[in-house]
Amino acid sequence: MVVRVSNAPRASGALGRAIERIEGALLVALFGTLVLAAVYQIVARNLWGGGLGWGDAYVRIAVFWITIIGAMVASQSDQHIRIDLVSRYVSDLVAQWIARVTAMFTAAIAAIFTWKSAQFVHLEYEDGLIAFGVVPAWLCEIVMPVGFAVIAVKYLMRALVPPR
Amino acid sequence: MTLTLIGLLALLAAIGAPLFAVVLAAAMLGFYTSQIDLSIVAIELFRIADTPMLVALPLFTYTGYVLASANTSRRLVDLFQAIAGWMPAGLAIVALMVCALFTALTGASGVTIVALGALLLPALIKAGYEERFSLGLVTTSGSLGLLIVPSVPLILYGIVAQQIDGVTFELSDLFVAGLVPAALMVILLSLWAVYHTRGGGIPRIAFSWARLRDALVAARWELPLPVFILGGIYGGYFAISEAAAVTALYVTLIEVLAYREIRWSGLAAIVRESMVMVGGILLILGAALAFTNFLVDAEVPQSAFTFVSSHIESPLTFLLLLNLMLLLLGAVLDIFAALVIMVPLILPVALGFGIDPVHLGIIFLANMQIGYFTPPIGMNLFVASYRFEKPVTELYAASWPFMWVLLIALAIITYVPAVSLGLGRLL
Repeated sequence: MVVRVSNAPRASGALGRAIERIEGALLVALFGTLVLAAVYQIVARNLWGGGLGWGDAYVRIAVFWITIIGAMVASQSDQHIRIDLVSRYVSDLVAQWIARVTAMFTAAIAAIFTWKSAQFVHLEYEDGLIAFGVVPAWLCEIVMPVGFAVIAVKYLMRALVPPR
Repeated sequence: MTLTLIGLLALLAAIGAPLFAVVLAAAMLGFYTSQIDLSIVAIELFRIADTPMLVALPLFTYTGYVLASANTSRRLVDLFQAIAGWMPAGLAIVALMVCALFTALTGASGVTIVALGALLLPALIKAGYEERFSLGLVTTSGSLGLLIVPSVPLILYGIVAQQIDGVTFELSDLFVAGLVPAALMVILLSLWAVYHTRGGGIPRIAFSWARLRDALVAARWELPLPVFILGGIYGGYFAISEAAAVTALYVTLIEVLAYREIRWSGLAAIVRESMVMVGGILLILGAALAFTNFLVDAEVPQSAFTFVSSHIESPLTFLLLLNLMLLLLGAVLDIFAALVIMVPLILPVALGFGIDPVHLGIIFLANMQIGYFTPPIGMNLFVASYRFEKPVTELYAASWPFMWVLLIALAIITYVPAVSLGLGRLL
């Protein structure tokens, strides 16, 4: 929701801020090229009967990257979709401990996924498949382990040092 | 052991663990017990990149954020005031229509209440409507319009349903199906507003051509939007993502260059905010794709149908129980999470009872729409409470009568399939 997102807390530390800037720049670049590529495909198809051969594939991969990077940003301020049954009805102290537990759980799941998706990407690297143009499949998929590693670290930090 | 872990996951979900992690964990647990290497979960998540229609989601979400950041809401209110303000309970009816259209464009993420509520609530009270009535109207209307194209939840239902074996329909069928039910809701709520304000306490406003002309001129750049979007309906599957791309580019150009209400530098923040929202939704979708795949492998949907059909015989009873369950779900669960997690479970059972998947989608979303303001934890109650600085309990009382009206609409939508499917058959 717009209101809450605007007040999202900022990352602390030089590394955190650098990651935040990279995430933001990537989101803008991916979304901008997504719109332009999608519109170009329409115009090209209607005007001279064919768009870029790799255009549609690029658009789909861009959506995937946006998904993972958007989720990385959402992890910074813990904006992920959740069921919120208890936090309004317990004391602040209890709520903070609950938040620590759920953050630890999220970090653990993200860490397992990082490991497993890295194995998958490694296999794809060895297979040498091409996703589109000259871009190999592993390059499209590498955002998974990298993104989930960042998510895991962000939630681990949240569990160990909860923001006030 | 497995049961304990399932219970633990349910508990973690209930106390507020991010749902993507819960669903991912459920999928991992499932594949682990089936002795399948967990790398499959990464392969499943990557299926997001194999679903061309998903492109429409970030594009329409971004469009909604842009429109919510510009003064589109004011122009929309002015235009509908000029068109329909002369009717009895005119402003209330205007509010309903505007909220429905705005929610269709922006998705029911609370933006309607934040952006339009701030305009409409003071206007309603100034025009002589009771405060409680006005509060209820604005809170209830925050999710009105979910059934109108290009609402993102409607598109998402179509995408999720089409992943399920044996389901064949076009997204355009779904878009057409939502129109009459949405109109039914607006009409019933309008009748309630007219009935509530009977007795002439509210002064009527005369229709004015000059006013209509001014409002049309002010909204001239935004008026073609329905043309772009409706262009997608009749094109069918591929055209929807094309329409989404053209719409996204068009709103960017008009709000930045023509209206000059958003700066280029402000766009970056809008892209970032809207894509964070998209990331949150699609990540759960990806996790749910993996989880659903496990369920299908384990033949859970078939078992669910066998179980349900051994206890329930008539489709009508099934629909009634479905309504009750979805209303509860809508109050507790975010609409996007509910769609991607529950539709793969419910749809196969509903198909078994002979319910049309398009009809089920409309029923599902109509329930979710009401769930948004179902006490005690419907999300829009809290958005409205925060926005209008009123205690949540006051909003419970204020939205109560509107809820009854929409429950009547829901009953009609559920038990008269022709309301959803009739228009599509005529076209």
